[in-house]
Amino acid sequence: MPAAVKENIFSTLIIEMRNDLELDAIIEDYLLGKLNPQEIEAFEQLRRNDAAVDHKVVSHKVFLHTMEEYAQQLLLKEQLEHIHSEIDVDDLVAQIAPHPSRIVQLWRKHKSAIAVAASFIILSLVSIYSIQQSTGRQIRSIE
Amino acid sequence: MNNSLKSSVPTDREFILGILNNSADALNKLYKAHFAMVLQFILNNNGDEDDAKDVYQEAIIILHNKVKEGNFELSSKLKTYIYSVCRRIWLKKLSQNSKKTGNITDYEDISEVEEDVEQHEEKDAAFVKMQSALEHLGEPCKTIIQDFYIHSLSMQDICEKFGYTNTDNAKTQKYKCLQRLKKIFFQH
Repeated sequence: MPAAVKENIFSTLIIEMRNDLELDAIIEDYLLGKLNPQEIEAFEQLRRNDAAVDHKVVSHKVFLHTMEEYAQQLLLKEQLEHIHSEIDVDDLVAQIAPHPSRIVQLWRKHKSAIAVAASFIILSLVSIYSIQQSTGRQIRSIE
Repeated sequence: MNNSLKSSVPTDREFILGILNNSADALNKLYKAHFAMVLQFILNNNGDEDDAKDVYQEAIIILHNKVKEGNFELSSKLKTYIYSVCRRIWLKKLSQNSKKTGNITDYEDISEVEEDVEQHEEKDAAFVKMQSALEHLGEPCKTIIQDFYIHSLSMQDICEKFGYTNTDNAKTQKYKCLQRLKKIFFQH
């Protein structure tokens, strides 16, 4: 908006009836720091003289602040959602599910060691058995 | 990023500096560092993984905002802080849903985060109000407002996106939408 147009709006604002929409636009420009020093002075004059305008500024400030925080929170939530999607939650749940007892936990922790130990035991049982069998046959054959 | 950097867990101090500098990487590592702890706590206390996610994200947001506001003192460990906040939030949810609060009845470590949680709830109420006001706006007002105030699009971009013939018309429309939004927002 060219400065001349803005100034024109100001004078109409002050002298005649206000156009609400244009007033809102100016309030926002004012709060977002988009007015030049001259405009700021003219506008602050208007604020001082008109309680309704003054209140509009205050309420818009509250509104903008809430909107800004809301926007920040939304963007942060989006970011967190993205991070969360990278976590394998099912895997975590399986790891830390509350049910396992001590024995189950021991088993999970040392699964491979227990498996190796068990296969050794089986292997040795089988070999002991087969040795016994063969020696038994030998004894019988000697007799 | 090389491997040694990736595998190293930053200290609390580094996390806080990272948040202050808007580091996405720091937030990412912080999030992943403590989720399992909270998940376990929630699962052990009548919740499921979705509850854990909600509670944990709320706690991270509370911590994030507190750090950003410069109000976080590193007197306790981040881990302890996050845990206490999650406990407080979950305890509140449980007592809202039913009378029995399970076996988390000791309030001792909770009182210090009470204020943070309550502040967050107040803000959250304002956000819910904003959200519902936006929903009441309808299209295209809702998207125009979101594009301008949340996604920081310029009026030129919005003008083109929606097919207004010129930026001034788009601006006028934006202010009309804004007026309606404010009316709804301040009414409730």
